[in-house]
Amino acid sequence: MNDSSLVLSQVRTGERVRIEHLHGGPTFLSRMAALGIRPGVCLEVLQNHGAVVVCSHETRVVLGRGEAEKVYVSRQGLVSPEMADTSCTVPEPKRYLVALAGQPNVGKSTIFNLLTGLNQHVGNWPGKTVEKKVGHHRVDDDVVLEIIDLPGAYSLTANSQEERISRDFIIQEKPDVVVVVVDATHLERGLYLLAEILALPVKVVLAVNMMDLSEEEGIHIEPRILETALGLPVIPMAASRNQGVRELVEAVVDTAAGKRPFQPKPPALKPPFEKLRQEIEAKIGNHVPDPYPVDWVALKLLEGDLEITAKVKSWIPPDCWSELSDFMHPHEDSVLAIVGSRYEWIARLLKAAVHEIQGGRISMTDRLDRIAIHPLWGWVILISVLGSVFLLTYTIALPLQEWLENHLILLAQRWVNHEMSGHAPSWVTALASEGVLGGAGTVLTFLPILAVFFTFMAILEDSGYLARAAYMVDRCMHLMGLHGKSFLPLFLGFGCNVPAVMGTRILESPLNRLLTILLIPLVPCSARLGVLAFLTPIFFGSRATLVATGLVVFNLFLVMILGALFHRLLFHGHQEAFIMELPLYHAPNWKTVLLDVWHHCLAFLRRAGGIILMMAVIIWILSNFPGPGIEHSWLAVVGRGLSPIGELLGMDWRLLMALLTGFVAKENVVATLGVLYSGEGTALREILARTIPIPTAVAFLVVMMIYLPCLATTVTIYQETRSLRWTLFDIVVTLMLAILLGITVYQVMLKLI
Amino acid sequence: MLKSVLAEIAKGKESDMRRLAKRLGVSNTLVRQMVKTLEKTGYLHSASPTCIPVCNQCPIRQKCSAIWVLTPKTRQMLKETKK
Repeated sequence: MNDSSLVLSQVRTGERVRIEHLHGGPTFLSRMAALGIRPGVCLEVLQNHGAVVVCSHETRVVLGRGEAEKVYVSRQGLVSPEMADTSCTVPEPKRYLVALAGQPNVGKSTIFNLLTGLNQHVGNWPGKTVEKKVGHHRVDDDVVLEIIDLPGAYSLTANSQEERISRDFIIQEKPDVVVVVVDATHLERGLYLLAEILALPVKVVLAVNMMDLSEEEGIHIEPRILETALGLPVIPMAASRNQGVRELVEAVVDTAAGKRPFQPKPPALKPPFEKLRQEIEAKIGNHVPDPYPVDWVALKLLEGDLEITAKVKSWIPPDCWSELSDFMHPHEDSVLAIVGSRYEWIARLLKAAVHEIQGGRISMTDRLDRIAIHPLWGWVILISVLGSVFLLTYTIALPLQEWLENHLILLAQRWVNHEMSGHAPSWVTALASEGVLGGAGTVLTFLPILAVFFTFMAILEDSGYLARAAYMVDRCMHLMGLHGKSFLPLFLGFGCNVPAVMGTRILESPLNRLLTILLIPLVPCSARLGVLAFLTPIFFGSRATLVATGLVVFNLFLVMILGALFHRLLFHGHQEAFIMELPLYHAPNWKTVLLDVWHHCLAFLRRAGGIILMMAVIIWILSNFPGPGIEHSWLAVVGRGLSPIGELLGMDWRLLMALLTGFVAKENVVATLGVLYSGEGTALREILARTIPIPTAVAFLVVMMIYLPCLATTVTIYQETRSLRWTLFDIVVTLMLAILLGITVYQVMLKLI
Repeated sequence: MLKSVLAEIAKGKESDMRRLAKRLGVSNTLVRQMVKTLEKTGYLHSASPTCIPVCNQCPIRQKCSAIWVLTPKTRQMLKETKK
């Protein structure tokens, strides 16, 4: 019974029909073709209530009624063996089993979906929680591809469940073709998996996906060269744009059918290791069960694959195993040669088929690093960057700081003096005015300086530059005979010495750890940098940037010189080799930067309201009692005891006391200066600029930058070293060094000026 | 090639991964991949064993995964290779 106007939706359940033609646009036709619904195909109608369910080549296809109305058919009779029309029997198509392998996120699932459309089934791998996706793609009447989407795997070394599933499937199910999908933007990664799959007896097609993205990133891949070098079909693809899918299907079918040459050139082992592999193969050959390839098992044994080793142990008799273990024991490091040969193979392929990367973030980092970590230019850049940070800080923050000091602190002092005089004892008024406002209040005016300074430092850190600065220092230490991953703690030291000392835990060598701990107090922390940023413009005016930068660089040189010296004298040249990855340069994230600045400012305000305020009060009391006047105070008595050193440094007892109180917290240096130099109704900056000569100022800053770790750092050093001896050693060394350098600087400057 | 990577790290002339890649004439990605493989196979390690109990409180926890050192096994192997 033939009726050219009959559509599928009109056919009753149980009837057999032949598709005559389809009526619809190209998308509809293409979708139907993917489902196997095309002219000439016979269908059995299994259900026609609501959706129309038909059976085609043992596959059930569900069509909507709208779709079924566009499929024109002719009746071929009822579904029963006697009534079957032999004229419409289509010969069973050839079925090829195809496995899609690849790393996660290489576009494997996109390719799988494009190939299988709705003809897919999702379940789990037997006994595993890993998803198993199976589908089929009908190439034409004669060929159907049964496609398995293997779980994403980086290698076949059974490091994970996914890798074990993938390799077990390839070994046990022996697919006709394995399509290895690789990401063109990270070809190296995918090629390693390919190298491992090529060690198995299976035909392979390489699908280089994301070619569009690699072109955008300036990575030019030559698929034909890659094909020749690999000896297997290579298909360039952009699956997200539906490009290369047809070519992939053709390559898979031709390879499976043997119509396309497949002569793979896998990584070759070096002769001694190849001989070794053959010897192992000879020893285990009779015991390895099917379907495991003996040469592959031998290779995996040499690689030290735990799963295969356990399997071999269960396959062979104990005495053979013992003999095999003894034989392999001296060759434990063969894994380096085997895996290394794969990487050499990848490097050769990349050289042949991948053009140089142009543009992109990585090459921008490379280009910047050519200068930023250059042995000479790197230092020029580092000094320029530090100088710029100070210059910008002074330009932006100093006017604000001056305004706060003149309009907030001085006015507040006048107000306190006016309001409290007559209502409170005079010493209470003086304590509030000179101690609290003159000391802790002056420190508070740091806030704009610190906020601006931390903003620039956070930008440098977040952009990746600060890591380079620490790398430069570390590399110089290495050039002087010192080595270690002390780089990270030193890097942290720029922020605060306390976490930096704690960060030395990453150093497993106790000697290296101790050495790094001893050096960290020389890395200028933010508190010291804040004091430096406050005092240099007072003492040096327009040359403040130069002096501040010079002092920071001087400290960094000291870290290197002292590091090399400690290393040679105390630790006898023990070295620790390491490799690290400097972060890529990138535009700073403003949220991160602002958050960092906020945390620093908050911590500073807490310190100012706590320990600094407390110290300012103590200093005021010590500097005003028993009196009369500051020159007859307890503090003056202690300070004058230090006058022999003070004379050599060109400092009076007030400057010495300011330095001494900086041991509690470095900001106390300014608080103490504020207390000891206040009471004259003038801003601290004006008094200091007027009374401190340049040589004394330089010596003061040199000492301030080097001497004594702060109290919190000292406690942390003790906690981390568990040694009072080394804690005291660090205190004494930094103190002596600071005094010696301070004296030298002062005496030299006296002679020069 | 992996032995070359280990030997270069042991020499200590280049501790930056990108510069090591240049020295070996390969891509950065490949060196990174080799370092990861060496870590998996026990020739490099990225964290100090002494860190383990206090790692969570460590201030440089975020950054320390970007540093690898030679393991005793590697140092021993390189020493024997030299002999």
